[in-house]
Amino acid sequence: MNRNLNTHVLLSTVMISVNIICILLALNLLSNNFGIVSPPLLHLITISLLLGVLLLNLPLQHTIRTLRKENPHLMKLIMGLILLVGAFLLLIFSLNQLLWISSIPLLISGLDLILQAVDRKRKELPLLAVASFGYALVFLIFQTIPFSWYIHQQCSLLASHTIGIIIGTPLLLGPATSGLGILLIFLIFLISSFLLQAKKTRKEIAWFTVCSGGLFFVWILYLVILGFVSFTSKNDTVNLHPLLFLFCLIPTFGYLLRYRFKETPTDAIPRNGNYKKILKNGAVWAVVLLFLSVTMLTIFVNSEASPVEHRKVLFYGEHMLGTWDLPEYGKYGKDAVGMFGLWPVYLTTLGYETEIIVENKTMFLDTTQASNQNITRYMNFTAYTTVIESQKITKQLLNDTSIFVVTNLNISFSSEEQIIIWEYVNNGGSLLILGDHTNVGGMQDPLNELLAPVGISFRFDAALPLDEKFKWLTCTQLLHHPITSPLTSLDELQYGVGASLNITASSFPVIIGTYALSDDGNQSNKDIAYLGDYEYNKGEQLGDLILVAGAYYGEGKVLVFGDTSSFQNPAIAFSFPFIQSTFNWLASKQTATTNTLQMGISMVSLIGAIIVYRFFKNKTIPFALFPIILCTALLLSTSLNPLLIDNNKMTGNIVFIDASHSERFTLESFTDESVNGLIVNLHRNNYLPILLREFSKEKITTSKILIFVAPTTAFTGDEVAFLKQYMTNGGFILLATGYEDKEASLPLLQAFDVDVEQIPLGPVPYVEGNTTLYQNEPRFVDSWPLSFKENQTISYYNFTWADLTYHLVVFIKHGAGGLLIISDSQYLLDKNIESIYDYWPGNILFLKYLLNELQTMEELR
Amino acid sequence: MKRFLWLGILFLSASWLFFIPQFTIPDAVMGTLLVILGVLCMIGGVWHTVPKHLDTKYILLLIPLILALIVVPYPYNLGLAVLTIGLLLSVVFNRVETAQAIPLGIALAGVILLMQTTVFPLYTIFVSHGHRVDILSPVISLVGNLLGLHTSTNNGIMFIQTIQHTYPVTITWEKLGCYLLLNIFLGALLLFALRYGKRKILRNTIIFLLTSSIYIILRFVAILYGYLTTTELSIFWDPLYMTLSFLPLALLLMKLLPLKDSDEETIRVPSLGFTKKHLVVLLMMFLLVFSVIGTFTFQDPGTIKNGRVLIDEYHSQWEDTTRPLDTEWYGLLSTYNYYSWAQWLSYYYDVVKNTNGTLTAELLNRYDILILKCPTESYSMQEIQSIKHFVDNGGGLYLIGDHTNVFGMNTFLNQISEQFGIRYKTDATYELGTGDLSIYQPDRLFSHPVIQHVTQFDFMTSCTLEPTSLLASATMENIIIGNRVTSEPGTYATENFFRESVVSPDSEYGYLLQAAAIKYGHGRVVAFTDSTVFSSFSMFTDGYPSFTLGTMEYLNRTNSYAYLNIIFIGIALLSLVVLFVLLRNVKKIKILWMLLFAGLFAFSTAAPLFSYLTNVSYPLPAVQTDYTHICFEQQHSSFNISVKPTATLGNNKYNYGTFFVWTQRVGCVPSIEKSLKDAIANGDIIVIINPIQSFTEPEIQMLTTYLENGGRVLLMDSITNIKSTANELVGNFGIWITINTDDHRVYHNLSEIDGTSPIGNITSPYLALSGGKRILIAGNNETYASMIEFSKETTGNLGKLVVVVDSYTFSDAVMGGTFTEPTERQRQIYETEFFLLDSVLK
Repeated sequence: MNRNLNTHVLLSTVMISVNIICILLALNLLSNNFGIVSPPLLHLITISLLLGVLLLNLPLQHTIRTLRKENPHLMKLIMGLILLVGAFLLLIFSLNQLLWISSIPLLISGLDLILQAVDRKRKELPLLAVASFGYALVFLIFQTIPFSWYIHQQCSLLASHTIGIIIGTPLLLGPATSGLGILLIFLIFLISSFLLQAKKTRKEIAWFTVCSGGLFFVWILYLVILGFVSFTSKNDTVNLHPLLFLFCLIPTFGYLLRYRFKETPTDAIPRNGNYKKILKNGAVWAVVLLFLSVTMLTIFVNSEASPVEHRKVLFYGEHMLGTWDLPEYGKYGKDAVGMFGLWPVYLTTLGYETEIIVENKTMFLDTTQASNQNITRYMNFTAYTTVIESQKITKQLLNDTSIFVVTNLNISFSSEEQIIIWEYVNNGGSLLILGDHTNVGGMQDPLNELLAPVGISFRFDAALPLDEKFKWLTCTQLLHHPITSPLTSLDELQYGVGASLNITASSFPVIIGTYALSDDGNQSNKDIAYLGDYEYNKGEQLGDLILVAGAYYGEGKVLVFGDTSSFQNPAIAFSFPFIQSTFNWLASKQTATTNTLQMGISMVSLIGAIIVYRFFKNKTIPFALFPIILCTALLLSTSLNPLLIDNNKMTGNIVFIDASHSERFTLESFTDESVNGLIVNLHRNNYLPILLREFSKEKITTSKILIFVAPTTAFTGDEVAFLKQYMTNGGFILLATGYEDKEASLPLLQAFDVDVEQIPLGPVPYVEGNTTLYQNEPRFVDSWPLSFKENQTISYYNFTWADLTYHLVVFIKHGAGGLLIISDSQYLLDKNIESIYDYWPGNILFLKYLLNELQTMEELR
Repeated sequence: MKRFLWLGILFLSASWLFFIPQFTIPDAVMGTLLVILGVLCMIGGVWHTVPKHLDTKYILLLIPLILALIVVPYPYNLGLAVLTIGLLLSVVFNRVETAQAIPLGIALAGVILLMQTTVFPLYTIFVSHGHRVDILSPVISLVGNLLGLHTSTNNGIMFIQTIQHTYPVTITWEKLGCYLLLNIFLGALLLFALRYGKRKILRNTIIFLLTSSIYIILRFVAILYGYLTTTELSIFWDPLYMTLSFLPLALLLMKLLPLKDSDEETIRVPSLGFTKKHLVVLLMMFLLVFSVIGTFTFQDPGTIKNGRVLIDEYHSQWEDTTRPLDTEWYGLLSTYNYYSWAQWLSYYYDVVKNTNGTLTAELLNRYDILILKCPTESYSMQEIQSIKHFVDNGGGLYLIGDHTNVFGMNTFLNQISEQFGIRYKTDATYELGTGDLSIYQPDRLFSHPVIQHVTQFDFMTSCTLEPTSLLASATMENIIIGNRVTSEPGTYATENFFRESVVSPDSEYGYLLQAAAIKYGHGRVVAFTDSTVFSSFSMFTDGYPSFTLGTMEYLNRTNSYAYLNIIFIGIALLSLVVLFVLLRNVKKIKILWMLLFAGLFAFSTAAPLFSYLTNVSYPLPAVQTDYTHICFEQQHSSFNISVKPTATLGNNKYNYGTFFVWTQRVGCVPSIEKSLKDAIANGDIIVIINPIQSFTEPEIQMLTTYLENGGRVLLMDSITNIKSTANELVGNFGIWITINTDDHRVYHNLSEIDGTSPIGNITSPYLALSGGKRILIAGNNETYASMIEFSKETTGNLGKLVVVVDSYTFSDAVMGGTFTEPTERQRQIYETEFFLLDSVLK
């Protein structure tokens, strides 16, 4: 009997420990505290972990039996199940890190209710629910109140710097790399435990103090270890975090050794007739205030853009590093793409009027515009942008400007100009400033001088992602902001290597390089732009670098980028949504006043909720309501925010390159499988290609051409009907698919009685020996013949072999538009058209010929 | 504690991943560790469920167990060994009541392992006949999308879109981890059968199957995430990852099927008494197992035909058989052809080449075997029908294809092979994990007649085969199921249709079918997948001659006793029905014991019997036309003979591949012999290169007799062979290899050579010969080749011992590879080889 009892106690203790460890682990995983792992993988691991916790705790057969029969706890059981399912649905389906973390207390509360209903109470679950709820709130505040994040970052930097001085090794670690995030979770858990402690005797308080101190001691010890360890690669610098997690368990479980778990009231679920009483309950009002606070904190108030007629963007085109040239015929491969020229061009598709200030218009156009060649059409810079000649910035120039853009400035504005600029911002104008790494071109001082009023400055460094494989995709954190909220993929940032930024308490970060290295510049390394050694050297800041920061100044706004890559010609087709959201916010009505008011109301509500909960006597309430309200508020703001952010109607020569049907090309730039060559050639033909990551009928309708490169997700009937209508209305579709990939395209092909036959033709034409003789001919990679009905069809490429004619490029007219099919999945890829080091003139010419044909058809109708 | 049984089953099941070379080279240490863990868990699991009294008669099972242990090779006898240990321990612990769980747990583990071994051959055949589970692609795609992936399906392939790539992923049994799951399922079935009644067995089996089905899908998605993060393909097949990835399933099963609710707290083991009914049961079980083995392994010896072979050149412009491999034609195509192969076949069979006619029924009727190798042109419908009738009437058809549908040859072969149920796939195979060329080593038991004389077969990138239907799958004979092999789909975008990268998640791997046969009507078909290996540059190495002769012997027969396999199936089915009736009221433990007892006896009888029958029925054919056989002796020599195109990339100063192949240019047939004894038995000429092993007196005597009987020996030595034992041999016959030195004056630079005096001398050593008849003499009057003749007046035989220095001259480092376009100097060296072989030794 005694032995059984001991076994039971032991098992119970093990279960408590496992539950606590798993939940703390889950919170850390969802917060991305364990180093460089892709968020989806962390998400999956957490789901698996929580499923494990669920299965470990839930007596399945007993629960099913309880569900089947009438019993007093049935309601509680059903409620618990609903919460549990709801939490898992949130965890699985939501794309928002805030919601993931907020679903944990919901899940624990659900599990707790179920276990109560089947009479298998677990004492640690209420504590875990409170602790995870507390952490969710703190995480929310870090995400939404920039000042709190700033304090968090500074604490870590200060602590690591101090430790570094003490141990004699320079150390400068952000919260992500110092493990402060892990410490924070444990600390919140410990505080929650203390707060839930039934009796707080002096001994208990002393023990709590000792254990909390223990946690800090563990962290300091960890920092000391980090100071002494020499890492072979910069990626390794965060690999020790699981060790800190294990260290932190020691004081935590030390505290729990003396901890008396509080019995949760069994009557937590309201019964019939008790609702009026509940309304008098102070905790209910705390819940209401919490809802108000969270909603206010996360909703984008005043984010819609100003009226279209006010959307003028003024670029400063002088004294800068970089050019404004556009892709043109005659320049291919590495030199073809240009730098900033497409930026103002693309902005016109969003309804912005763009102007550029230069000192000498003729000289500027001579270097920017393509020289006349024997080509009928090319993109003309002045067709999109007005070039203004001015020796300096004047009030008149900025008078009706919505956004003033300064890029890579390498000669300071005069004091007079600076005063004019800040006056313009103070009166409600927006200032967008972009710079680059390691004072390249001498831009650091001019930019920092200009930015002095808002306390943002460029550092003499290069911000490098620690993950050499996935680069910024696994090392970036987007804070809750109208600029980052519409992004569907981190790839839309197209961030390269730039400088990191210093900010003050009055400015705010927007994008953070969580796992990034501030690689100090090297003044003597002039040949490669003063870049450093790309390795971690002690003393360089590691983690939580600010890549993009903003500030409010008077009635206006300032946004600063440490890197220009996102706005450069090669990136713009991929980063267009990011550019759109950036300019939308800069043009929005949001000001310092609205922002402060929003945060103020939210904080007052939150403090109010705490006060009400703390001081009201009558506050019996099921704790589950708090996470429910938290999740509801977040869901509400997540649903409303897209409606509150302005989505401009696009116009112009837009071409969408679809990526929503899992097309067989890579989104990376200039690899064999990329479509950058296609993009450049579209630019050359005066088209503005944009990557279409989600199939949006609304967007597609605004385009001239829609391109599919070997789609692997089948077209639905609805999509085919829409695409036919699109073509009827004058749109052109370019579809490249070989036999092996054709299944997904069949619904569209069949709608036009076209098929790709199973006859492998491979690389047409078959050339042996000197290929340069054929370099002006089109060249295919993996081609298959097309079969089609002759009616209304034009064959643009065919060849005859052994008395049989094989058609590889065919156009089928449909309404005012039509469908152009290339029976080669790889034809449009960089390896076949144009890459950074190589190009095939025949394909460039053939593509031009095809686009000309489409354009002629468009002009004729 | 009973829940530990699930962990036990997992560990035992996973141990096979480490013992069997399915995906990786066996790791006996890890395998043993897992077996020990599994056994411990089984002991823990049965700790409270032990038999009260065990009838010692059960120990009788040891007799067939030991027999089977002898017959079954390692590691497939693992279950037998564990069960034997369990039974022996039950004798030891018979009186110790508290320790009864130990032998019981071990025996239970042994039975589980034994069950898994029994099903393993069927699994191998099943997966090698079709890897892909396309039906699951949409399901996995859906689950993947729910869990954050961007996937789609197209032609059964799942595509995963990431920033870096859109990865094509095939869903295969191996990637799903079905081998491990099957093993776990077998263990679970045994537990259910022993512990529960029929209803609970059904209920628990359904729960198990549902849970594991959902689990393997979720596991696959998790593995995909792992792959996308690491881009390491081994994450799919690494045994350790696979074992760990199934640990959550075991924990889940512990929760869902705790095995607590057994119908009995203790296993009641009845005393082992035998009635007449039991004896009939034992007999039926014996018949069942015997006839099942017979069904799968009995090979109809057939009726031997006349060996008239037709090689079709009319549809093939690759691997030509017509232009001779002689001493004038060099370069890639001179050795990348089938001339030597066809020539060699003509020593055993009556070989004719069809160079200018379509394959009509009239033409085919004149032959017994038709060889269609590397077709590069399409066959007409009439030709396809003629071939089909030819086989149906008892003809033998040999189809030889190659990787990636190169030159369209697999497309053309499929026109024929699909008529018989075999399809050539358009892929290329490599060793899994390394990407090297794969090597096949046949199993000792149950080898197909075609492969039974082959000890090792080195592939040079084959394609794979698959049956076209279920019936074809059932009747197909699997000649080579390669293990640790991966197959990469081909592409039409590159020359030779190879992909640029050989590591892609749409590859298939594990057991792949590389050669197969099928009996059709009265005739037979053999399909082979790697044409390169029979090329002149490689034909006489790495098991290819034995394979060729095995194939020809198999095809040179009409089917006579094929009905015997059907009779075996009938007996098996009949026995099963009788057993079903007789076993209704017999205790499960007793049934298990009897099945093991009779089954092991049956296996121990049937396996050697059928292997012996195959061996006796299909010997290698005798030579019809004499040829000069030149044997490269390995026992005393230190050389390497690799003819693979990659051999020239490495250190080739010890490689004599080109010297070996060039013997074919003067009409010899070379081979590599492991011992001097074998070389003497088989060779007309024996080649010993750089000997380092001492020659014993009996060996010297043996060689003397060989020479006196007209044998020829070529011994080549080198100054680089510092451990040379050549003089131990040739000294007995009056030739001595001596180290001489050459002095050379040296100057500080070239301009000083005329006029100024040298700054000193250097000395370089070299080998020369003394004694014997001088054959090759240098300008300095040194002898580089000597010969001793042995004549026997009674027989008139003239034996020759030729000694040559320096053998380095004939290494690949100097002679180049077999595809080399020779320089003038290399041509002179070739001429030296031809002089030695053709003028002196032949």
